Amino acid sequence: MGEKIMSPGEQFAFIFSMLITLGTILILVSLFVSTRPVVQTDSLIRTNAEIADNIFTSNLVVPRAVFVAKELDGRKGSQLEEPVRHCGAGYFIQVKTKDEEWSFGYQPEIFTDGLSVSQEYPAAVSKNGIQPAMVTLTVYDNLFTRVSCMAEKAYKLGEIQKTEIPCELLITDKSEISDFRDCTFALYRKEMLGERKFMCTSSRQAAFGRTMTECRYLPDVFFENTFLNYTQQQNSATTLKAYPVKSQTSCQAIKINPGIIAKKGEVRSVLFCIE
Amino acid sequence: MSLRIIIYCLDNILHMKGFIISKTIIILMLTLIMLGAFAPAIAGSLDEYIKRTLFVQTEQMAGLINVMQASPSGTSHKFFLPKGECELTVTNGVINLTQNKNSIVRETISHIVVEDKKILCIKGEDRVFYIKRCGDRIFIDERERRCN
Repeated sequence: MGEKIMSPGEQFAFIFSMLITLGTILILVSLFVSTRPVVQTDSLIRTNAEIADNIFTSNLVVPRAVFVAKELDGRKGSQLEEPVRHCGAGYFIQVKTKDEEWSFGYQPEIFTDGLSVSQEYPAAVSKNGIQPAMVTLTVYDNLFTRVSCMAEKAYKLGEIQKTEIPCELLITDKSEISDFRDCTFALYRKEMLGERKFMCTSSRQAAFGRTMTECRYLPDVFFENTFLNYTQQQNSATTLKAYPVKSQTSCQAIKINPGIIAKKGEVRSVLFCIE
Repeated sequence: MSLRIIIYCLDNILHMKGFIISKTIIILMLTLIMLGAFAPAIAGSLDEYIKRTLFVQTEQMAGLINVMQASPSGTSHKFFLPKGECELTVTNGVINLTQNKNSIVRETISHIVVEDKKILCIKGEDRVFYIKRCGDRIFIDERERRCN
C-alpha cells in the first residue's frame, strides 16, 4: 500500500483513456437503442396473388384462367366477392378483352385511405371462341373490411372481436371549434341481388355535401343494425367490439348480463358496441 | 477473500493506481448499470422477436392453405411448427397460433372447406404437420393423410 501516487501525466492519460472508452460505450448504446427493426411481409401483395390464383381455379373459369362469359355476365357491376372470398381483405376484379369489360367486387367509397394493391394477370374469356383478356385485381385492406371481418369471425368463432376506430365519419363541423368531435358509425344489413346479404355503412360528410354509402358482401353472417354515436377527443381512438350474442339484445344489456354473450354453436347474431 | 479484493480495488481507485484494473472495474460497473437500465428494453425486444416469428409463421401457414385451395387434389405440404410449447387451432378457416402467451390470428381465403383442427406442440420436441388437399377439402394432420 505504500506505492507512489500517479504523476499528473499518468492521471491525464488515465482520464483521457476513460473518456474515450466511455464515449465508445455511449456511441454503441445509442446505436443499439436507436435501431428499430422493421419486418415487412408484403402480405397484401401475396394475398392479391393468392386470391387471383383461387379465382383462376374457381367455377368462373374452365379450364384454368379461361373465364366463362356467362359467369362473368351474372356478376357484372355487382359487389359480390364470390366464389372466392377473403375475410379481412376485400377485392375488386376487372376482366378486359378487346371488345368487352366485366367488373365486380368491393370498392371503397368512404374508407379510401386504407391499403390497396393492384396487380394484373393475363387470362382469357370463353365467348365466341377464346379471347385473350387482362385481369386487374385490386385488394383492399381498410377499416371497413376489417370491421366486416370482425362480424364474420365473431359469428363463426363465437369469440368477442375488437378494434380501434378513429373518428372517420363526422356528421358535424364541431371538430373545427372543439377538441372533442361527434362521431357516428352506422353498420346495417342490406339485401341486394335477391337474398344476398351485404354489410353497409353510410357517411354524411360536409366536405362532399352528400351521403355516401359503402357495402361489402357478407353472406351467412347475421348482425344487428347499429348506429353508434360517440364523442372522441382529437387524435385518439375508440374501441369497437363485436359481441356474438344468443338473441337480439343491446349493448347496455350485455354489460348487465354477460350471459347473453354466445359461445361457438350458440351464436344467433353479432352486436357492435363502443367501449 | 472478496472483502480483500474490494479493499484492494478501492485502494487502487482512490490512489489512482493500477491503471488497467481501475479502468476495467469502472467499465464493468458501467456495463452492469446499463444492462440493468436496458433490461426491460432487452426483454421487450425478445418478446417482440417471438411475436414477429409467430406472425411470420402464421402468415406462412395462411398463405400455404390459400395456395393449397387452388391446387389439385392430392397436393400436400409438410410444415414445421416453432420449437417450444405452442398451440395451433384452425377454426372455420381462421388460424390461431399461440406461443408464450402471444397469440396471432390470420384468416384464410374461403374457397373450399378447410377442416377444423387443433395441434399442440410440446417443449423440446419437433412438431410437424401436413396440409393436404383431398377432393374439395383441406385437411391438417400430424400424419400425411391418404386421399380416397
